[in-house]
Amino acid sequence: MPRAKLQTLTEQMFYTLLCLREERCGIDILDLVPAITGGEVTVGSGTLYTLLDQFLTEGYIRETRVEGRRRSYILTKAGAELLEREYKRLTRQAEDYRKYFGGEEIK
Amino acid sequence: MKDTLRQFEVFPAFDGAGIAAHLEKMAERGWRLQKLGPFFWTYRRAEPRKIAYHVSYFPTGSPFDPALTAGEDELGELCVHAGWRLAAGDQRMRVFYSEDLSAVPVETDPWVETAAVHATAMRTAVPMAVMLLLSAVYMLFGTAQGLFGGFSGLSTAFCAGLSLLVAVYYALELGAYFIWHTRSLKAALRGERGRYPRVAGVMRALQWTAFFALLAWGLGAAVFGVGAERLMSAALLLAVAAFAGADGLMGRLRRAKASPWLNRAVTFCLTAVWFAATVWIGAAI
Repeated sequence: MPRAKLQTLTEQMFYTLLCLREERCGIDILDLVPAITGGEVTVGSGTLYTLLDQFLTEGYIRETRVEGRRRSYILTKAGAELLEREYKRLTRQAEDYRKYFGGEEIK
Repeated sequence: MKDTLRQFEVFPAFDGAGIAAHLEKMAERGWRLQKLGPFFWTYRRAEPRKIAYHVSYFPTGSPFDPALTAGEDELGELCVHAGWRLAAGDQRMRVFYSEDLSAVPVETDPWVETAAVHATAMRTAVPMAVMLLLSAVYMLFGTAQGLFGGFSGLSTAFCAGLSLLVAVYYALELGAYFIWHTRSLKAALRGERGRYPRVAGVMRALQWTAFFALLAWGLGAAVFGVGAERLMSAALLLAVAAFAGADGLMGRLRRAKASPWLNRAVTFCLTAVWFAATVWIGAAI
């Protein structure tokens, strides 16, 4: 579910998919995203609910287990490809930045 | 001293930020939201304090179904984990609150939030508002053409005025929604939220005006009007009662855990009464 006009993922979309490289439930994702980003990125409960629902509908993740209210998910092949496409796009941007500025800091 | 307060509340259906800001002010005055009704919201008395509120919208929620889907059940758990509790709501809209003002907001991605609100709006409120706007315009044209047969000038003026009020109300609601949606899409690119146009005050004034005008004319026409006017006032009051009743009854049946099919059937019958009365008035005009 990349943003239609931009064909890119928002930070929350990116990190939600990243967390689902391994089987995890929603609460795990809520805790893991701030942990792996040093608190730079947080995912709200409503945002995560909507993302999981839409990623599931579009086949980027699949449900693996249901335990009471808790549902676990894992990335599918389509989800992994989407994530990889975004990684390559971000890497290309970072490389272009380095080429342009030659590693200097912007003054 | 009263422990509950019922207040007539009118907000654009998708002005979640405006609704949350209003509820936060009420909490600071010592009233916390307990129940959302179609016209009146119920508050309970509590210690005045700062509380954060958030309104979420669910495109997949059915207003007829008493059961929560597995996903919606999951949302409750996610919110509790993040420090948010459900204050009130239904399958399409839920109001959460948190006493921890530093809790991570329920929505952290304006793009995702805008998409969820828009999907909900296009499934529910927008088609309904378009239908009501077209009905009002149809009646307005009828009255403007002066085809009121044996009706008094006062009745003609009333019908034209009421149709105009209804048309303005729904045009305002639709216009405000689409302005907000356009603003939100642009703002989401910067990671910000779009501001909802300030129309709640005007919408509230229009609703009160329409309500009192309708009541005054309906009673006046029923007591003093000629035969056709009496019939028309009865049809108009019936139309309004059916419209209000359909919305209120749908929620009551859902809360009473009636089957979705029964709820749909009852709501459909009441809506059919409302539509028939509107068509009858249009034909009379």
